[in-house]
Amino acid sequence: MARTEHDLLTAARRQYELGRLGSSWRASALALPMILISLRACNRPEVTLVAGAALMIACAFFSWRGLSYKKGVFSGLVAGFMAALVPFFAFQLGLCAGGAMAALCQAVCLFGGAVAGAMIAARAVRLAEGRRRFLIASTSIACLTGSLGCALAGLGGVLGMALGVLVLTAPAVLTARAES
Amino acid sequence: MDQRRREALERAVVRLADGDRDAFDEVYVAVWPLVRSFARRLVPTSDDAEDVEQTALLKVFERVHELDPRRPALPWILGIAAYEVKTLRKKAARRKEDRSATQKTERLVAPDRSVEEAMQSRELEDSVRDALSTLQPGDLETIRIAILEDERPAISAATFRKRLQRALARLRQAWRAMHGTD
Repeated sequence: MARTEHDLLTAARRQYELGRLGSSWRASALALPMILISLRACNRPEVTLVAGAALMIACAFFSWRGLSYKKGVFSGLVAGFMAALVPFFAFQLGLCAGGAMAALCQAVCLFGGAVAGAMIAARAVRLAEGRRRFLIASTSIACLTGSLGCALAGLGGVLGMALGVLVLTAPAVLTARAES
Repeated sequence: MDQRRREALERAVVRLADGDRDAFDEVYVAVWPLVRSFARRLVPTSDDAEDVEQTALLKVFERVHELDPRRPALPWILGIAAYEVKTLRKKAARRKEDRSATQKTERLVAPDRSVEEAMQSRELEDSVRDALSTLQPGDLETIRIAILEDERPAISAATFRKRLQRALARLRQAWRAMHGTD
């Protein structure tokens, strides 16, 4: 079927976006193991499912956008995984049993978030360009991934983890802003 | 294509593959004439060439995100166009095979009849046979003698005509009952 030049240009653009979208869901699959572990280990399936769904959508979205956003997906997943592991081990050691231990558990999550933030910042400063995009993607994904583990520590744990990530990535964010 | 333009195209394709939408127009303007001239050299008819060109171009953009930035983009693009040409040639070869198989079957049926006509004729014969099978032997014999112009029985011509009329009327009745039409 013959197309006009304009139709062909539009169709090419559409195929480009569809092609990117079709492959972007592979990035979401990277999040599945974490989600499954969280469902098994944490006693809050509703939190895991909501955070897990948001994480998969975020991975697909940033992967589709491409450029440094896509680079941020894997870094965010790895950093977030580290942040999620910390409260998981704390829970196994009985540090997140609740009651008087709640504050200690939240501090553990804060520490896990700081570790994740430091990993992301270290990666971001090595980028020659697109640092801002990288940070947006990686911090969002790290927070969502971290929340899969910090659900054990409740909302306070999740917020503590997110705070840790943001505090440690702040210098990299400010540097990126100054350069752009 | 000179070296400078080729390098510019390579850089633009890599940027587009990475997700830089700003590179889209530059890649489109450079790749479309390349794919078009490549396809036209390999595909003889202009209608087929147009289909192949457009399909190849759209495939390039659909799959550009898969491009390995360490490898040259131009051979990759022309590889996609070549694949579309190959697909078209396979389809054309299959159509040619099907056409010659149909022609062979038609020759087996009757030299001057198409397969469809032969099937219709066979169906009509079966329907007539079914209608005839409802008639009495006397009616069948009368119709047979009339059609084949065989020797008539020892009766007057008027009596034979009357018998033939009644036999045909009963045949018509049977046909109407079976097919709802004369």
